[in-house]
Amino acid sequence: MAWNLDGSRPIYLQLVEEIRRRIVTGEYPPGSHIPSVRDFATQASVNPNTMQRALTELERTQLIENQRTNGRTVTEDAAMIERERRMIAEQELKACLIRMQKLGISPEELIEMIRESGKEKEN
Amino acid sequence: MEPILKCNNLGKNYGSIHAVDGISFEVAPGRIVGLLGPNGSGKTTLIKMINGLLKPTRGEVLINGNRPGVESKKIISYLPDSNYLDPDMTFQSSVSLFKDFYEDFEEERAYEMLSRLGIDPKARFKTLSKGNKEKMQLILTMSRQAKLYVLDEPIAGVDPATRDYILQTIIGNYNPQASIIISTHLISDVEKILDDVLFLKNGQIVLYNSADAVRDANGKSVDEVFREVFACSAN
Amino acid sequence: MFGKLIKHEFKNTWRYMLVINAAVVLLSLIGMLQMHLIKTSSSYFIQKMSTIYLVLYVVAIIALVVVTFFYLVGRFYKKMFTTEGYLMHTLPVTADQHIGSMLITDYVWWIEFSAVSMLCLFFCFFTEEVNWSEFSQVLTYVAGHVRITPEFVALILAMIISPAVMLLNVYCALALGQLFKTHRILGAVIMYILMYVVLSTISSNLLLGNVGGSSLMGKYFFTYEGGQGPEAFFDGMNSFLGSMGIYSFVSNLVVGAIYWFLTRFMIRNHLDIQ
Repeated sequence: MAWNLDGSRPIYLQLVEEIRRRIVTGEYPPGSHIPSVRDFATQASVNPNTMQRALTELERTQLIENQRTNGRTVTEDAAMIERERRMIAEQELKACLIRMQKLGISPEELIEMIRESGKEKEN
Repeated sequence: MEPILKCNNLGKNYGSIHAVDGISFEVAPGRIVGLLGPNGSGKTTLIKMINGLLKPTRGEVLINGNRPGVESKKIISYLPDSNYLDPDMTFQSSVSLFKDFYEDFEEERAYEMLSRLGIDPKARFKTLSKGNKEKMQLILTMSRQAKLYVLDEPIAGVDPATRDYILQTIIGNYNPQASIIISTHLISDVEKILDDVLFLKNGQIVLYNSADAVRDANGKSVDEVFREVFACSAN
Repeated sequence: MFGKLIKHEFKNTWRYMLVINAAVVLLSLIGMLQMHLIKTSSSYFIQKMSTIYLVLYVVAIIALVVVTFFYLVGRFYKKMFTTEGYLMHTLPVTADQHIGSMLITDYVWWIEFSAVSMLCLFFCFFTEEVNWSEFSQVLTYVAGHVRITPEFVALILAMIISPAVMLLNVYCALALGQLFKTHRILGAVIMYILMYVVLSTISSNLLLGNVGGSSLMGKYFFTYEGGQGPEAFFDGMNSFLGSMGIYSFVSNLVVGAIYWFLTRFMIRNHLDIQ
């Protein structure tokens, strides 16, 4: 999967966000092995130092664990992953609400639109 | 730790033109530095001085504490902008040459990288396409365990797929004790793999900082900042 | 490192030299055939064609010699002063090692090819005519009368090193040509002519002209005491050649060293590959 990195923001921040997203969606399952810094950087086409910085940050928030001898693994703490998932969802929702507001659509209208699109999907 | 590269007031004059105008900077081990600037900014002159291909007019350049000479050449792996290999030579004979002269050359790695490209190691260079020649020269350069890699426009003039291949090879060969200097004007392709960026304008340093810091400070990509710094008016 | 440079240079040149040597030998074999035809054929037409061949053959040999010379020194130029220099000058090798290794390989090839060409020419034109027993008699007579003096040794040494000095002369001209920003080969030719003029002037002044009241030649070269006949002639020749030999040897060494240092200076300080 291609990494879409935007040059206008610090790369390491974007890497943190993207890896976090992949953990939360299950693309990197709990307990799974994270590639070495070099391999991971090659996959993402980024500087290994930048990738190192991103991984260090993720270790700090404990989404990733660094077992020196066995390398890095995704956390097995399902509760934490769930919390992250909700946090990301809430962020997306907030951003969406703001954008809808700018379009002049109130939250109530939005709820109605969601119900409509839900019905369409079922049909 | 001793910087791999250190320039003290380094300058080169051609008559009255100051191609490189008294610059000072350091590169620590393990950094990938982008040497960025338009044509004529002094990048190539600076690179030639680092490699001992040009004698400075003033100041000095030190590689691991040594002035350019036999000792510094042992630890610098240089990829020039042009075709520097004898057109009659083959990959095989070039590998044998590199192996003979560079202790840090890794023959297996070179052949392994070549096999992934599917090019015949016995073909003479003059028979190869431009893109393949560039890839081969890159393979030879990156098959050394050097302390300083100097790549002059490694991705200019090749197709996007080859560019990706070249950038992947550079990242894949990364070694925290070595540094890489990439000189280019194709910044948007390259900026994601850079640790630090150095802007050169009219032989002087106008910016030297980490790439992420530049992005943070400006809210823009390095490429966009570059365009602002080096904007020419069309009027 | 030095040996490796030599090894790689031979590796890169032996194919060309093989082809060119083979060409010379082949042309000479045909030439021998033509010589034979001229002698044995009664057809005027065949004699005429063979003669034409032999004329062209000599021209061809001269041309091949010239071409080979330019091939060899051209390699020096390409390796040191064109984009191949990016590879050569970033090898962990000194300028002296570069100059020395190219000098050795070019010298070996040059001597080899000159010898082969001269032998082929000789065998083509003279094999049937030479009276070998007479020839060996003359050789023995001359050999018997040559005294192996230090001067004589110096003369032989001078002959041995003079092709090397000639090569260094060309290297030096090519290197000095780098002083020009453009048209560097033209610059090299100009420098070559300049060096030739300067050297000839100094040389003739030393030998024949007035250096401190008399010339070298007048003062030192003729120590012939007098006498008559072939013995005296050989004595005189010996002393002249001997002095000439020492002068040649010393001057070749000095001039060769100057060329070397100039070349090295240019490579170290004025390299600017475009």
